[in-house]
Amino acid sequence: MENKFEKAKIITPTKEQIDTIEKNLGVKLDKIEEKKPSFSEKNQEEINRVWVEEEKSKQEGKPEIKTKEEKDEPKLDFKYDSSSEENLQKHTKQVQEIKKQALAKAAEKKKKIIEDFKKRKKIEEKKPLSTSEKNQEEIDKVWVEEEENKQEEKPEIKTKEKSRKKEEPIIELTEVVSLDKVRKNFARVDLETEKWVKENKKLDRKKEDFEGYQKSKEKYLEFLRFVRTAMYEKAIREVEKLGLLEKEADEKIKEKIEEITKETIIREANRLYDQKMDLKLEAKEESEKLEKMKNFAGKIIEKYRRMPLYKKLLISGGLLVSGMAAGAAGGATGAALVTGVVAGRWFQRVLGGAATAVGLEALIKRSQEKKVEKKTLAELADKLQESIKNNDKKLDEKLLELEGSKKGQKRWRYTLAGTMGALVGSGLISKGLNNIVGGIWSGEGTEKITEQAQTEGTEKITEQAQTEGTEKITEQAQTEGTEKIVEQVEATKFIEIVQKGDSIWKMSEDQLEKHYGEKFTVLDEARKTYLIDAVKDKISENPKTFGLENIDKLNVGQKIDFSSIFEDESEIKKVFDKAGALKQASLENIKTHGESIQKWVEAHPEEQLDSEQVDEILSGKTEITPDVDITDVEMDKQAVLETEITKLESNLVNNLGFNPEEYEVIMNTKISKLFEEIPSKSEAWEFWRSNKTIDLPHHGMYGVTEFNRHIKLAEFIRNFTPSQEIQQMTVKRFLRMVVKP
Amino acid sequence: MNKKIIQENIIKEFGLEDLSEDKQIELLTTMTESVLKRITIKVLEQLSEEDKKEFDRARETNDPDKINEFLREKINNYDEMVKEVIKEFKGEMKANIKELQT
Repeated sequence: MENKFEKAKIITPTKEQIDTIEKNLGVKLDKIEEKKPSFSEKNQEEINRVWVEEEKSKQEGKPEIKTKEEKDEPKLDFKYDSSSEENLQKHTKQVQEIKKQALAKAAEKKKKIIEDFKKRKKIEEKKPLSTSEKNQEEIDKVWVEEEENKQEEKPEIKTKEKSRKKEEPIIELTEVVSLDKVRKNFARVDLETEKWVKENKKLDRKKEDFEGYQKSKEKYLEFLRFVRTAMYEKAIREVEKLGLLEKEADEKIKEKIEEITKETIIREANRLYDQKMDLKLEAKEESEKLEKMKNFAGKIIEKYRRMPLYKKLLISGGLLVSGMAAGAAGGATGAALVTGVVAGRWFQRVLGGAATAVGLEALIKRSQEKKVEKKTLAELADKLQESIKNNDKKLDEKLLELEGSKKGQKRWRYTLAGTMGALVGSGLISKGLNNIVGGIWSGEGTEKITEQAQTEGTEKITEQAQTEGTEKITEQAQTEGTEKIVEQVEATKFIEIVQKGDSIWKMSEDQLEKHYGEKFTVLDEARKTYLIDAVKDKISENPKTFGLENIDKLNVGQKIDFSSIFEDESEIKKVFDKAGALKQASLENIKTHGESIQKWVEAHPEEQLDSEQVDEILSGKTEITPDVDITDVEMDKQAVLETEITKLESNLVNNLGFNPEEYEVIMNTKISKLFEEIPSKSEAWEFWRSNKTIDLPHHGMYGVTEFNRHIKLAEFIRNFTPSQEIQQMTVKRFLRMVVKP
Repeated sequence: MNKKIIQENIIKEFGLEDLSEDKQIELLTTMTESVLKRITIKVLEQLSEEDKKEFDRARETNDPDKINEFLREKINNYDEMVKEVIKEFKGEMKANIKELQT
């Protein structure tokens, strides 16, 4: 039987129509392909998302958000649908919604994994543990603690990564990897390179000569650039929210960019150091011994972290700022710590007024000759710690009292410096500090810690499972179990169970909503109907493969598997594209038909709507109006269209953040030139940071905010993957083309 | 031992002074953790099983003097070892920073 409903959706532009459009535009429409994110773009997208989520989580005190598995997230449709002036907002909203869905899915999956993990743990707890299992338990615990320690103060970007063995080969650089992985790979290559350079010292070999070194380094630096770019963008957004004047905003952003650059380099250098040390240790020690060492070191770090800030800084100052040894604060090093070799006003503030006052070494040297009673010095040394802790002036007062003089600031400082100098010289201050610095070692014995590790393991892991992201739990959980759950979740998402009153249309709609979220729900009713009907048609083509006699015969409780339709993403994408390209006349037709069906449903609440019924409802209705040929558009209509395009172009430009003056100067730039100057987002930021000249027309002084808009513009255009021919278009021409209704 | 390297002010050396106080403190404490971890591992590497038990007992006293005394007695040139770790850390950090800045 002819399906009238089908007719409503088959109208597509004729070849002649397409030719006419192409002639008018001067370009080939098929060249404007849908965005297919490249590997690096995918990474960028992913890193941006993870970074932003991590930062968000950090602020909200939420556990770290992990990267997703690609297959779990619906593909982003980058095609710019230019059918209405709200498209840009819709597009943004669509992307946000898809991200939201992906996160919700990840949360759901995480919940399931946690539940399974708990169940499995319960079962395992009942069984006696073998030696190897005990070892595994121990290793798990060490991991948990290490990761906990890391997470407290070191936000990390992670993707699913299993524990790796010593001899693991260098990873293939083309796979999608995390910063942790890339760093680890580089650290390994770097160590090998260092060894090789050392062995070939006589040949004057350089690191760059070692095979694989440069590639690994470039990959690592590329990842860092991605991370930094995401941070720059976040900083820019934050500054933009402040509503500052352009010049002030530029200054503020510049400062932030400088800070981010410096911070990321130092932080990363530190992580690289840790990674290299770990690898060296792994190569040297047996795994069991290594784990025990790591466990113990973890406890020491934990102890350090729990210390009040003043103590932490004294230790930091002692170890790194002044360069004295922990627990070995001899007279000279003590002097360095207390007498202002320590830099940074904050550090001196932490140390209190006394330390601030004795910041001048020269004064100390001069005053050290003074004789101060040993007894008083001892008393002062005892009080030093308390004074530092309370950040009060008691020590100062005591010193003043000792000196018997309050003759003004200058005199006071001299006195203080002299007394402190003597204290330092006597070695008593060292003792006072020693109690803080050396205290890092005190605590429970290594044996006890090991015992605890064995008994606390399970609970800690379970606790962690409740609070941390899926990926880490996946690492800890036995891979097999976790993957099974993931597979189960994957398998059930395409299955609909027939409920009372269900129809194939309804279930098709549910599936579309489930898999495409807002990408589907934001569509107008006509396009939705088109998509639903397309899914229905797939089933009606061969109902038996779906376990149905025909599409109208559904049994309550029956399972219908839509996977054969939805797993083929390319097919679904085509249908979405067709829906997006429907002409107004077709949409009107579908809408009219839809309304007719709705009216019938309302008028016959007791009756079941089936495909036959749909045909009857639609029979005898108005034939589908053919699409209007663009060549027939009258001149006045063309003028209206131009006005409309200008309006849409203006909206788009505005959404990209440009003011009219800025757009005016950039609009006649060729896209190829724009791409040449901004080859990618992260490279562009590196150019900017390294003061490379960016040869793009700009409005007045080329500020960072305007530069950021140029990046956005380039990224927006790049999303369309324009061909070389299209890249010869100006920005303006291109934008007008994409917004054309 | 190059005393100069040991006593280099890491804040100035790494250009941390341009960062906000919070960032300075955060980075400094993170770096301290790395050094502490390294020192701890070095200590453990040099202690025999018997020494470790003794070390545990010393630690349980919570007396820094006793602990330090123990370490100096059991670890060859303990102070030097700590300084060596710091020197190595600073050297590595500088090299890493240089790599990352390219």
